[in-house]
Amino acid sequence: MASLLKRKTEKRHAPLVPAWHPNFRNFERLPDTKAVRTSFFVNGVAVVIAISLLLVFAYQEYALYVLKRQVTEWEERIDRDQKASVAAVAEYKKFQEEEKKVAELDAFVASKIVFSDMLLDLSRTLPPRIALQNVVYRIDGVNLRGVVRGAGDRASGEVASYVQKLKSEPAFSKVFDSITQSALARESQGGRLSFELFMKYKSTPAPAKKK
Amino acid sequence: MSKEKSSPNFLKKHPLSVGCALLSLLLIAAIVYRRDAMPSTVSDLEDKTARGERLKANITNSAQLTEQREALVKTNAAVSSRLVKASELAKNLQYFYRMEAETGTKYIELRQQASPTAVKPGNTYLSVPYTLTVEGSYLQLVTLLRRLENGKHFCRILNATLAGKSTGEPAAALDLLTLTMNLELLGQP
Repeated sequence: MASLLKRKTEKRHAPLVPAWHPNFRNFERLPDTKAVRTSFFVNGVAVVIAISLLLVFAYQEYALYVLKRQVTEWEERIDRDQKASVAAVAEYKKFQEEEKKVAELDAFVASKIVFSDMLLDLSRTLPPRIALQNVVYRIDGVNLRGVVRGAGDRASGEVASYVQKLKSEPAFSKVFDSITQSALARESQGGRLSFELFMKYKSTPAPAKKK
Repeated sequence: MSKEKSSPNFLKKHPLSVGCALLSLLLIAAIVYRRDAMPSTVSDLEDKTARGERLKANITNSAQLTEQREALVKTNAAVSSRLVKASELAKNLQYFYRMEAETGTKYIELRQQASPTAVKPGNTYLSVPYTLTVEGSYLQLVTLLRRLENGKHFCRILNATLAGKSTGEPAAALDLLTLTMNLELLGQP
């Protein structure tokens, strides 16, 4: 037991010296003794890279092929439709020429109101005690001037009622934005009250529109 | 000297790896070379698609265009027959005088104003302006207006003043009224 312990101590103190014999092994020529050879991995990686690149190339070529086939299909359609399309465009230009004439006519006859209709509506809604002396049809609206018989308070009340009646009349309310009383004065003769109303269009009328 | 010897050895020892490497290099070159063709082909396809669809839309939208154009041509021919000729002064005034006779009104003034001798560029028609002052009863004047508005020629009233000649009594509808108008008829030179 003691000797064993002693040997160990000797071994520990033994000098570390290189091997006494040269190493004649040629590692390049020695066979690869690993369980899986390095060449397998090298070959595997090379094959995987090559196959991956091949797949990328094939996919790219396939995509190009598909695109070119679609281009060819569209070219065929274009060749087929070209003649009919040119004829359609020519026809449309002729149509536009005719349409322009209709639009010009439409712009000419377009009007906010029909003057004769408005006169008939005015006469239909005119109260018995009121008479219109003057109707002016203008580009921005219609001006009415008239008289009402009676004393001042009653006559002014009738004018106010007339304004309300005009405002509530559908024939006027859809055309005119506002109906305002612009003047009211007692006439010196005959016990009458003269008034003036202005009926303004909802927006600038188009009858004077010229191209 | 040792390297020269080692290259063939390496080739002999790893023929598959070397072959794959060479193939990979070739494929990379081909991918890079062919990749440039992709954007131009896509752009070409987009152009062709847009053009093809436009042509298809042209054909689709023109399905009934011929019939519609013919209808418009007929309409415009009918409109043309209702135009006044600015140069035919007597004939134009005759149109108004016939209405005067038919409605029983009395013209105080009827004047065809100067109108352009040529149609404006881009236009087909021109407006022939008139000034008309007419006297008559309320019903006569409304009848005249109706005839003007729905008459043979296209007419638009620019402005008008209807004034009573009576004292303004409620029975004024039976009295004489004066209607002064500026109006235009649709015409051609």
